[in-house]
Amino acid sequence: MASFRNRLLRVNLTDATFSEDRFTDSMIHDYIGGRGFGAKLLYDDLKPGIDPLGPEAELIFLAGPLAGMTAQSFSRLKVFFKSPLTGTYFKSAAGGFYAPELKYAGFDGVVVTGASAKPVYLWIHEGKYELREAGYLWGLDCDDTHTLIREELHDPAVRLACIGPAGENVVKYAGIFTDRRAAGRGGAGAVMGSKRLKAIACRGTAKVEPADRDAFAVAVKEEIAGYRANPMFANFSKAGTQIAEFTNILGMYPTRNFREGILPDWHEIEGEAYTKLRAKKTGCHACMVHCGNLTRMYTGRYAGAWTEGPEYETTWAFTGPMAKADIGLTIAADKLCDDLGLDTISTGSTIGFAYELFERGIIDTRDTGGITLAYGNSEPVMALIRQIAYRDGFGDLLADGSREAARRIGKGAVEYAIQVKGLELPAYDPRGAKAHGLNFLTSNIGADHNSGYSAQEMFGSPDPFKVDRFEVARKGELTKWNQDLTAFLETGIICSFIPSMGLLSVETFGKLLSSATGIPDVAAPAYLWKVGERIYNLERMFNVREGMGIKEDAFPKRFTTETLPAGPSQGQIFETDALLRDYYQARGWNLRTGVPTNAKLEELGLAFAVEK
Amino acid sequence: LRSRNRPMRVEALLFGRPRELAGCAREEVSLAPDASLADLFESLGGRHGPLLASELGRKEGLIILVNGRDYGLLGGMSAPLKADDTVAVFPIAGGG
Repeated sequence: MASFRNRLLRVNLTDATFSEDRFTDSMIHDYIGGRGFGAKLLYDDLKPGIDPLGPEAELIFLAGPLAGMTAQSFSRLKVFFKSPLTGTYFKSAAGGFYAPELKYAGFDGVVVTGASAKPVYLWIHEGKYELREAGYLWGLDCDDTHTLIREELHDPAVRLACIGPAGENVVKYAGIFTDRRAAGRGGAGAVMGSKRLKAIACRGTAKVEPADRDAFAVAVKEEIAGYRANPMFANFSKAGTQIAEFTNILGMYPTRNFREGILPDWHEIEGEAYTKLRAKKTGCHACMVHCGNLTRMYTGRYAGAWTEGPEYETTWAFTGPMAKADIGLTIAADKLCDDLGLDTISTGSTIGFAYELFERGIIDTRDTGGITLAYGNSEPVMALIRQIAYRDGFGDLLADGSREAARRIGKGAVEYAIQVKGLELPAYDPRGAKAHGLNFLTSNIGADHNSGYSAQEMFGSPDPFKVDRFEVARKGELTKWNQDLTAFLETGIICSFIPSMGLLSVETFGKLLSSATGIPDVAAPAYLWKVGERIYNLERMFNVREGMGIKEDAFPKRFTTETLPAGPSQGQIFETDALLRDYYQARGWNLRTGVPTNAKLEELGLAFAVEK
Repeated sequence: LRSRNRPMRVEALLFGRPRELAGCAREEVSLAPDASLADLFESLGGRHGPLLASELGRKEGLIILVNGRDYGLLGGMSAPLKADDTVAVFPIAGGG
């Protein structure tokens, strides 16, 4: 099968054994690749109720069918697992150069099971593989791990996906890192740490070829022309993801643990402020957008700090939750999280949760080890990040995420854990944009913005129709549209920013896929929409099988009982019941339980997932 | 009646390319009491030159918010403004 290697490496770390799988023709036809494969493999391989940190848990690394060629923005690594943070199906992705290298090394993916008695790393090289001793790497940060493995293998071109101390210490929102790019969310790093797998290194030279070279070249040209014709391309390429000024002006920049929608002094963290600190632009393999930045701080408390980033979400994570706009801290904290191996969103949000508990007197300095948490003072953040990564002192409590920390603290703390299904919310107040919020509520991995980004509400995108961000009507239909679109585009493991900016048409994506794989069906938009819906419903059924349903599609009560107090979104609330009902209706799910109906599952070719 | 005819003040916040062309991030503009968004843009263009006027005139590629609301939902360029309104103009953005 062209564009695929059609080799899936399975590694059992308990007994250090290997096997190889191939994807069947029907698997490729029905699920295409990437997110489709990840969802199907997890559904088939995992028994319900398994411990996400136990040896029976799987950690799946996949490159997509378009990775490693000239198609733009598809060279992302995606990892799939049952999340220790949420207990749900989970997907998390990283940019950079890893996914193409994995294919050049001979594989589309790696499935890791079991647990090693001692730290190891996996080395995949020109179609061969071996486990190597990693005791000397255990405890090292992600940057040093990259350096030392490249030295050991005598090859600076080796690509790595590794964990830092946070993953080793099974912090439930530890990520997997590849050259400072993160598959950050949901705790993939914790799963890897529980298996005592420090890294997967890969290197190869085998070229990846499309099925129809001429048609593929035409499709890539069409894709590039589409980027260039869209004004978003140049703007995004120049500014990157920094939109703090924009979300503040919308009045939906979460501040003080989502109590307010405007951060005082937000001018300090505008995109232009970061542009002034930019040392260099960076990008991923085969992506002309080049939205990344190396940023350096030259003055003040954090002079000398540098990072690749921060992205908008990270900027928020270390400002809004503490109600303090310190640009230097955002740079230093981003790098520290990358080094120690933490998801910045959950880290910042969980610290922000602690700030509110402290203000309310639910916790005090006896709980925090003497640290005072006061809004307007973000000085404790760097120390808390280290405590979380090393599970030291108060950090040990925060390392399990805000939902679990709230459960252990008691005293009503759960109301202030701002999460859905255990995943902390990203940097948008759901009351200010209802489809954006509805996506947080119904995403199969918890409150994830990239599962169905509402570009219609945020940026005025006219497809499939123009909307008012405060309106409730038709938001179920819109959210389904955004989620299914994302699901089928992620069969190619596309960068999330591309669909949210409307840079790639469904027609062009279909041409890229069909010319690369040689499967005619995938050229048809109607077929792709069907696959997107199939994937979405299968992921939902994974969660249903774990005992989840309508009860888990819930926000903390703040969003349904407290209005935003000031600014352009003042007075807004999240109308959960009406929005959720509209969404279930659009999805063809049972309105009382939130479970896909048998008829819907059968229609999508998912009869095997019907609950017995 | 006299107070109704008094000019009103509107705040314009400019980002990205519009900011570069204007040479400032924020501007207070006095407008006639029945002024629209189009009048504000004309005033800004007149004050800061033809490059800004042309940038604001193309509209496609810009996000224009009046008090945080998309101007398209408020009546487009003929949307009436009120005293103390804040109009923000961004290059069309993507986020993450």
